[in-house]
Amino acid sequence: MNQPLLQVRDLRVGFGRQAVLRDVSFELFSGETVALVGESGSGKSTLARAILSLVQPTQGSVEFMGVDLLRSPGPVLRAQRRNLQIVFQDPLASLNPRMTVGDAIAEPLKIFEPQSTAAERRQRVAAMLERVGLSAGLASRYPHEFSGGQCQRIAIARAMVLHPKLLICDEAVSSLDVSIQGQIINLLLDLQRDEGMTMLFISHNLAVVRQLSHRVMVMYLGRLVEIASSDSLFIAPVHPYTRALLAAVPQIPPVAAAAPLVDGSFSAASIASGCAFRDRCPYALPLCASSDPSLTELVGAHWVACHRSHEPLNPLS
Amino acid sequence: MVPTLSIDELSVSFAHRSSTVEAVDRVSLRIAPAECVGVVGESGSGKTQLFLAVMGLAGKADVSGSIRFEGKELLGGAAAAINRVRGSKLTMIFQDPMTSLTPHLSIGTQLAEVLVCHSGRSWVEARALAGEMLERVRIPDPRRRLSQYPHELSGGMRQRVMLAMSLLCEPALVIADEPTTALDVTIQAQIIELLRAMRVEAGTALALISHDLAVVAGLADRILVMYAGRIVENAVAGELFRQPRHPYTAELLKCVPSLSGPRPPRLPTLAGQPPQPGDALQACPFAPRCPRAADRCRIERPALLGGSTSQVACHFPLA
Repeated sequence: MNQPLLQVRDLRVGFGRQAVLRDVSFELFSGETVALVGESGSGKSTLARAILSLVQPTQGSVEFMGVDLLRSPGPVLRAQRRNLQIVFQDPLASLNPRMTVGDAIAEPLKIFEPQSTAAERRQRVAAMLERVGLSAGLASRYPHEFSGGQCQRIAIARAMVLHPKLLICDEAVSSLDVSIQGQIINLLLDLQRDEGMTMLFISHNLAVVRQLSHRVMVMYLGRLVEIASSDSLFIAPVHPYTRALLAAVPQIPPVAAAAPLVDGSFSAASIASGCAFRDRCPYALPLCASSDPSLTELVGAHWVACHRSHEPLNPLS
Repeated sequence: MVPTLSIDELSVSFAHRSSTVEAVDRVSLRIAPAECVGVVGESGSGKTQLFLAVMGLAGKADVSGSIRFEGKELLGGAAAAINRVRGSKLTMIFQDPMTSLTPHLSIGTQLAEVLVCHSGRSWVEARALAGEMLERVRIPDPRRRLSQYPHELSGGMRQRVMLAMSLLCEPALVIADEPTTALDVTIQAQIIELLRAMRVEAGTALALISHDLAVVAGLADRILVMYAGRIVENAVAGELFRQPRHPYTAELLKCVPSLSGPRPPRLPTLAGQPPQPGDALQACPFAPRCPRAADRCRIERPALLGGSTSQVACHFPLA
């Protein structure tokens, strides 16, 4: 297989067993969309921030295009930043209210291409606005004059204006209405097809994830517990947590619900040793309390961290 | 049979710059005893404002029309009259369970206060009943929770506390406004289960407000679809999903991504965006986005027509 664009190895953020992220390792390849799913507090956003060097990991490495971002001197890291962009959940909060949207989109160009002229930048901003489905004439407006969906288009334009190699979308469509959500997802799919960028799509909405990702990574309390292609994950999820997560998604028409998972337990004991999911897991064994299962490859490119991943487990009733 | 809630020609409007914005535009609806009615619509469709008006919480808005609760008019009456039912027989729970609870009072005090105010119980009695109610909403270790503060509970547990509070006086109607939107999907499933059990055990009517059709699908007997402050469709839940009649409902259902079935290369979308407050509306506010719109839709307001369980406000309905 070709060289990965991003290689994360044994990443840890925080200290000891209370770390926010523990032993996170994965690779992203050029042009693919990989979803990162999990409940709030599982560490999804922290992982995004660690990749971007916005939080300092305590251990491990993040290698992007062959450069170790965590051990590179400032100027090298800054030079790489143009290839790593992020779109956040709240589009209005991620735009400066006192800056016209044109200036906001031009800002990355000013920083990374200081030799560009104002006229060149205006032209590229106009082209970018058109590209995300807004009229170029809106560049002189302020963020409050736009709806949530339009602000998200602007945030995407700002992230894409430098043609990054990796775009991280952190719950980028979660605050949008369903009719607008589809428009933004289609825009991201179009941009990816045209630019060939890699996308790390963080979301708690599994139905959205299924529509646009090639692969899915499932995170639970700071660890990756399952990594698989979208097709195998949604058809044959293996980890009990993934299965419970999928079973909990409400559907139209309604399907008979499985017994819902009990509340998350964050007691010190449950993360002090063994599998962090065991207190909520209907299949837990004594072994799960003493030994922490590591992520192992079950069948081709389907990775699971569960002691019982080789057994056929009965469906939850 | 007297409906638990009957609303007639209700309008809620706000002064906006030099004009007025109609957040709710001449809405009429009925909720029968023990019925679960889902109210769906996108942000700004007026679904929350409609029920805030029912609770007398519309603030500075201008509210006109009629809201009758168990046959008694709530609008225009004395504050004392509405205060007797509000919070006891007619209750509401909100999206964010953190901001709905007072941070500096213990859970037990906040729950007991409802019974002290509305049922004239002593604090000791009220606290004991509060503990029982926490047990009914399946909070683990309910007695200990009474002395805890909201920040010590998880989001799902806080929403259970809110639900317990809303049920203390055996209400006839609980209004739940996006009760699971701020919660994780596994916790959402628990709360939906709990609402379902509550309906069976207590026979309480429920108005479930949500932007998420799938959440409503699992609970509601009947669904009202709102757009731009109006009800555009009213149908039995199963029928609405099998055969939507308003073009907006049909288009909206196409947009909902699914966990099964084929994965289209592009998601179906609804062109344009919902009207913003203050936008000039056409006679049918959905006309600019509607694939079936004709001249008539821009001239004549479509009325909500049909029987009590199947109504549509469209000149050219599907089916």
